[in-house]
Amino acid sequence: MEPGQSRGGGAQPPPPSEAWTALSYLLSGFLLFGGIGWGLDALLGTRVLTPVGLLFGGAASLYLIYIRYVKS
Amino acid sequence: MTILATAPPPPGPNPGFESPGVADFQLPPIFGPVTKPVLELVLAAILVYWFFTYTTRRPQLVPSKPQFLGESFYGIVRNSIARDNIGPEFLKYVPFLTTLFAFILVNNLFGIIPFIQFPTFSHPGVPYALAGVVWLMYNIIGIRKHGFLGYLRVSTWPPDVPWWVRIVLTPIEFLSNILLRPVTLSLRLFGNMFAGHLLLLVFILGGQYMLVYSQSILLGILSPAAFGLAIVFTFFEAFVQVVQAYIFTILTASYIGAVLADDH
Repeated sequence: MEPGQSRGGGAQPPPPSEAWTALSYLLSGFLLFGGIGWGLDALLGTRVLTPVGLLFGGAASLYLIYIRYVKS
Repeated sequence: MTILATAPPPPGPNPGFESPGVADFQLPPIFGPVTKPVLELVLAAILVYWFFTYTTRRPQLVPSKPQFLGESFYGIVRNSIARDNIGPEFLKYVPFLTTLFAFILVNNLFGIIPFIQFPTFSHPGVPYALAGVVWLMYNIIGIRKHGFLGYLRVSTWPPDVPWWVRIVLTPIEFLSNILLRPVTLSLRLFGNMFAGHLLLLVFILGGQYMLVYSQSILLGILSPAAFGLAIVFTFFEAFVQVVQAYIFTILTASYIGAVLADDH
C-alpha cells in the first residue's frame, strides 16, 4: 500500500487515531452513568446504585465503541 | 544496609530528602507577571515562524537542505496525519495542523534542551488553551458543514440501532464528543509533560542530594547511578515529547475528519 493513502478505499486498516478517540467514549460512559448512579444514591440514601451505574456505563461505552468502530 | 543503619547521625542540620512536587513547577516571575513558560511560548512561536519562513523563502525545484527539511516536516503532517484522518478535504487544514505540530513539538522539547529545561505544557492552563482552540475549530467546521442540528446528529446519533439504545448511547456520545474531547486532549498532553519533568527532577535532585547533602559515603558512591538514570530518562522523555506532539495533532485531525464525515 502506498504510504498515506486516503480513507475509504475498501479494506484498509483504520487510522491509528481511532484507538485514542475510543478512550473518551469509555470515560464518558463511566462518568455519565456512574455520575447518575452516584446522584441517585445521594438522593435516595442507598449505596448500590453507583457501582451499578458504573458497570452499566462501561458496558454501554463498549457497545458504543463496537457500533462506531467495528460495525460501521 | 548495615552501613546505613550504623552510620553516625550527620553533623549539622540534615532535613532529609524532600521529593520534588508541584511547588517545583511554580516558577517565580522574571519581570512583572511574565514567567519562564510565558517566555518559552513566545520563543516557540518565533522559532516556528522563523523555521517555516526561512525554509520556504526561496523555493527551488531541487530543494536546498533547509527547504528539504521544511518540506519533509510539512509532508509528514500532510500525508500521515491530515490525509489519513480527514478525508478528501484535508488540504485546507494542513497549514493549521503543521503549525500546531511544530508549536507543540518545540514547546515539549524545551523540557530537555539545556538551560531551558522546562516543558511549557506541564502547566495545565497551556494545553487547556490549545485544546480550546481545537474544540472551537472542529465544532465550527461541523456546524458549517452540516448546520447546527445536522452536526449534532452526525456526532451524537449512532447509526442503525433501536431507539431505546439511542436513549442510552446518545448522552454518552454527546458527553464524549462535545464536552470531554478537549479535556482528554489537554490532560493527556499535560499529564505526560508534568510526569516527565517530575521524573527527571526526582533523579537529578535525588542524585544531587545523595552526592552533596546526604553526608553518607555509600549514597555518595551510588549517586552516579541516579545521574545515569537521569540521562537515560532524558532520552526517553525526548521520545515521549515527540510522540505526544504527534498524538495531539493526529487527534485534532481525526476530530476534524469525524465532523466532516457524512456518516460514521
